[in-house]
Amino acid sequence: MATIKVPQVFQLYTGGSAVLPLDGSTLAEALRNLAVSYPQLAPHLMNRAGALHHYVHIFRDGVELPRADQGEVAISSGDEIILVPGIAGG
Amino acid sequence: MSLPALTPEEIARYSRHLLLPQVGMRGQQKLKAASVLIVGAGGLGSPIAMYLAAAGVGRIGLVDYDRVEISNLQRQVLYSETDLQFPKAEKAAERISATNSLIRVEGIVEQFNSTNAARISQGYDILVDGTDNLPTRYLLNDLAVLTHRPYVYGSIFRFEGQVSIFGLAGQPCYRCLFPEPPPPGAIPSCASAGVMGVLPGIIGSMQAAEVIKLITGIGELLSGKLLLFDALDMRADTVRVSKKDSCPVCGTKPSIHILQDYEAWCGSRIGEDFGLPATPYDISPEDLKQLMDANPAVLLLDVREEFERQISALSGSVHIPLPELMERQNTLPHDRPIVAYCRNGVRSQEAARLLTAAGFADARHLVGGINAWAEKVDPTIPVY
Repeated sequence: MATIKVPQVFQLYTGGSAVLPLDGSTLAEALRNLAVSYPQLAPHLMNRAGALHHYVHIFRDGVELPRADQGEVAISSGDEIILVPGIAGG
Repeated sequence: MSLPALTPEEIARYSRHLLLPQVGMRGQQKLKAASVLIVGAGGLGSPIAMYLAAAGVGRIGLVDYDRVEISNLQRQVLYSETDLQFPKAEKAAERISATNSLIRVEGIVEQFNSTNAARISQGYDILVDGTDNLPTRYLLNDLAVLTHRPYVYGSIFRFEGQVSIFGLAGQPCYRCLFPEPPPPGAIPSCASAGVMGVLPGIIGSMQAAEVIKLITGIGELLSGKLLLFDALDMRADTVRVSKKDSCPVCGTKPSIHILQDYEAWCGSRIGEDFGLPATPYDISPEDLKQLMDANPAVLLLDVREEFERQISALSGSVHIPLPELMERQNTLPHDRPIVAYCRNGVRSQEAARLLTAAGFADARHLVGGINAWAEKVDPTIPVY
């Protein structure tokens, strides 16, 4: 199964979990399933139409998935997705 | 390039650098010839300034308009208790001058903004990020791109940090990764969410290492890459960052040619933790006290996390953490005024907005949170 690493900014909405299983054959499907499993997390990642907020970025195996075709990207078992938000502290 | 010679005193001082074949005499001379502006002399700025001064960077500027506060000492290792209430830039400059009297140090007690950024940064080769806010990060990035200087980026949150170098020729900038800021309040600051004290030490030290590599021309730079560090798992990931043709400042058809009003654009004011705009739900601590005295039916709703209630709480308050509020809204009365509160008014504002949208006729929130209540109404409550 693929996994998604959730930054601490969003872990408040995952019960503190940093790595979540990702279920789905495409990224869009996986994110929809994630929204069902973690309804409190969903509004912080995406709008009601399911589009990712502009300040949330998704990387797979170290490479950013282009925003335009993120939804169509196929997810394979073993894929490691990382969510990267902008953070502001210093 | 003609480089300044090292004196015998400098040769003795920098011996451990000179012994590194990658640095050697020429690298140390490059460090001596270099100038670095550090914007922000807080958690990140502390290790950056201390290590660059110790390393012999010839000219270091430190910009910060803030004063040293007691809550800074948990992580801002430039300062000691005797520095409390003094301007950070002044004390930081004193401290690093004491570390290395052979370098030139300038402490600049000003708020770095689009009107003074060009003047303050004039003559500095490298811009380094020690800031604690997004407007200054976008300002630093744009200044770096427009003036063809590297921007050594670092940022932290709780136990996580990010490091990169932006703005090198042909390489991505901060806006290639983050074209626009998140809406105000979407991403909390360290002041609202906390930060592990040693984290800025780690991230700032990484930034200092990148600055030294950049100046001496050694190693593989974190340019075109973003390092993500997690101190809880002690794990580091590096992801690739691509230069974007569509970038508004370094793309093929840039729309940004001069510095902007970054506070207005980000929707947040520098120096205020959150800068949330006023809302119809706001109630000040003084007004809440009056309301509670006049109407005992007021329901105080604590939307913080459980661990925060162990630090402080308002007597008689009902506790529902913000993430659970909508699920548990049916436990709240519709026939009583509800005033939500949190630590300093960000989460509670969202709570009041959510409750109002859900049909609660009189849902408000305590501006400035329980910390403001402690300051204005009840000084027996600890501020955190």
